[in-house]
Amino acid sequence: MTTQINIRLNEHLLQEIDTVVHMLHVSRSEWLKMKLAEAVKQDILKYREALAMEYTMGHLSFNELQSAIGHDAEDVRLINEMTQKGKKEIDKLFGK
Amino acid sequence: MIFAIDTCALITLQYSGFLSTITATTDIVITKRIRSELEEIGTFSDNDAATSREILKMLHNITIIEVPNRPTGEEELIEVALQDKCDFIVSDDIRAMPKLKQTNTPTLFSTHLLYYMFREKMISKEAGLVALEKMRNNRSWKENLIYLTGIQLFR
Repeated sequence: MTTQINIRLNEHLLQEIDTVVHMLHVSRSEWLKMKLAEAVKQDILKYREALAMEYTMGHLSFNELQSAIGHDAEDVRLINEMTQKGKKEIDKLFGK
Repeated sequence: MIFAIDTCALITLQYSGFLSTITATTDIVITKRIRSELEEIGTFSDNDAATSREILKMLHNITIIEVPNRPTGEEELIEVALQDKCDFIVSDDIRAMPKLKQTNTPTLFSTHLLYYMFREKMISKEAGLVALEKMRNNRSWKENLIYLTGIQLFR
């Protein structure tokens, strides 16, 4: 499924994009989709620790985390659950 | 309290700078397989190798438990737990968790040992946080996540 979005670009940037797509023999739309996808992937890799931390602090839902980092979200959830469970085990030794 | 610690967690705790304190003040057990893994890692020339060699020098403070041979250190720790020779298993190996959960012995991360030391008033909160940062170095992002999440233990 795809959704159409509208963005405004300045003239100079658009000219540069058109030069590149002309050279590569691809459509402007195809090239922009590819570049956006690349940028999103790179940012997810770059910020996945931060995304995971946002989840462990309750600022991000599991579904949001999963949509960003995929199957790795399960491991993040496991690490978070084990950290909390382990803390309780240690606290028990000290009577809370 | 007796902590049975796997190879990876031992190395991480040595990175934290507190393994010698832990071994001197609490009961730490490992298995022959774990000692072999440390010896094997120690033959290389990277940071983990140097750290493994440092750990091997601390073996006088670590008990090696006799268990039936298993393919991995984690599996031998399960045997230790089944023989009731430890109160906790300590491992940072996420892939090993399903197997480790087969025992009734609670499984902890290496970060929990820092928290234990903090609760025992052996280290300050600040020292714990600095140690977590040291543990975070030279690790994969998921392992790093264990140490990042560990920050919450000190909140």
